[in-house]
Amino acid sequence: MMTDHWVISLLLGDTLSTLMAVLGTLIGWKIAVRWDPNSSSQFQLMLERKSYLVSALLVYVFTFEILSLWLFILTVNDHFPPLIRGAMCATGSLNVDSFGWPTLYLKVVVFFLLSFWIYLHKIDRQLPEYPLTKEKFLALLALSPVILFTTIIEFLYFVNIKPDIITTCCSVTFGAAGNEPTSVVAMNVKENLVIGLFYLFVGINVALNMSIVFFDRMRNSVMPFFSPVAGAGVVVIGFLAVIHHYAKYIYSMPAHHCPFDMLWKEYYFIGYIIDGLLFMTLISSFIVGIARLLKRRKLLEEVANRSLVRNALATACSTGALFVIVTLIKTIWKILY
Amino acid sequence: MPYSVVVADNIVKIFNDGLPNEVIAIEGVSFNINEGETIVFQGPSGSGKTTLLTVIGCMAKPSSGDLFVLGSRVSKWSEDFLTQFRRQHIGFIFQNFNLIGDLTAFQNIALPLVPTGIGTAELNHRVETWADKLSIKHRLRFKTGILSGGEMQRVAVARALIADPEIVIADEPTAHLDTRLSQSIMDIFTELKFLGKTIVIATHDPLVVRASIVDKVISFRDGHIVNETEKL
Repeated sequence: MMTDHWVISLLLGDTLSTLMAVLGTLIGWKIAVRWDPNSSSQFQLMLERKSYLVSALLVYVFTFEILSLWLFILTVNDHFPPLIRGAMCATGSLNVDSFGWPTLYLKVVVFFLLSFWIYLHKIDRQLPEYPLTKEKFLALLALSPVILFTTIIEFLYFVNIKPDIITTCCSVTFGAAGNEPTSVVAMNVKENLVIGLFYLFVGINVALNMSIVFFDRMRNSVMPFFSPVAGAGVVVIGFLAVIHHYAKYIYSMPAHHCPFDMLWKEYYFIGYIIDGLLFMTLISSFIVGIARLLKRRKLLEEVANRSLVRNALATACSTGALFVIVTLIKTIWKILY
Repeated sequence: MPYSVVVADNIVKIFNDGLPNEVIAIEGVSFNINEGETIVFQGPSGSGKTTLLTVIGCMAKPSSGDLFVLGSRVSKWSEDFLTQFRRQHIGFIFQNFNLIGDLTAFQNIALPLVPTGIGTAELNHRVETWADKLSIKHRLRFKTGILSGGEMQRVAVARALIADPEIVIADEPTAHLDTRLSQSIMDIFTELKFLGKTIVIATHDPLVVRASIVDKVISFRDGHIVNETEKL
């Protein structure tokens, strides 16, 4: 599998961006440790110039890393199945060795962490004093090992793939007619309970974030701290609701619960829209919490407040859009069949 | 109560900080410049006038002390924000012109407007208006490398004023000009003062120091202010 051009491209891109991240960290540790916003010394000026250059480069590198999640999913969901025995979608491709699922989970974690880092960078660059430079580079020190580890696991995943060994696909992992699912997310879940919780979390999330937009913008209440909790709730329950309830309307098959097949053209790429909205909800709701933390600092108050309101609105909109889309799919299916 | 356009509080600028060739260019300098005032910094070579102008002009950050320009505490700002601020609010006439020799006079004058995204017609109009005022319209299509010292000086003045800055800073603006052209430059400054611009000049030229538009003369020696005279 290591000679496959998709794998070579993905590994090359990820390795280069990991090297850039490590290089950025090697330069950045000095900035993280010795950054002093009150100093105007030549050393501080040098750090300022380095921080400008390093973070500008890292934004591009991290944007690629964020996009590489999509490239990875495309590889395992579209490109690998014809090459691996028994694989019909990403589930089969990821089951092929013990590094498949950890790679996907790590890439998702990296996706979110890098999104938050880019957010910190954007806020930092909005003020002439660069008030978050130290925090940004400290975060980079913590991030780089995670990126490095992810690339190593991804490498191990590709190295260990044996295309001739038969793998198990989504009918086994997520369950199909007559099968008990092996995946934790697909087991022992009552469909009605999941749907009830999904409606509840969507309602809470939209109401909470809209009330932040309309009533909390000038106050310093604790309401925005609950946005990440509600957002995470929507994402977890929303994912379960899609697998256990809405998937059957998407696939027109009551026993088909795979979260990957819906990413295909046959299903109008609806999975990308659903996953995109879930990811957007999680990112923007966490940013609401981060912005509330930043708002505590006098210098950042105005910028953080603006960002808080925008992201609360984005969270409410993405959650609302998610609800509308899955409901629409269900309604159309009921009208048609 | 006049509005202070520039407030310098205990400004220090050290070059090669901590190295054997460390130079303290200005030390503990404090002053105010009010809106619409014309200030002259005078003093011998090496007294710190040009360094102070670059600090006020947001081209260099002070090593310590506070500097407020148009109400913003620019001494704590990062370089890219200082660049944007300078582009919008400050026009700088350099002693050695700092023109780009491979560009024409027109292109040199138009340069500060390029990042602003201004329309071509408006850009052409502004360049020609200032070139006309400074009597260099006939040289606009020439590369600045072949212009005379006086012509280069006038191109530099036009470039500093093209973006309509609130503050005009000039380092020895008449150093390369004969008396007639020096007077024409002073006439431009008079017109700018009439328009409400704040003007800061570093000079040796008595013609400038004695000019009627000058409100205050600050004398420098060895990086310190030795005298501050308000003209009545």
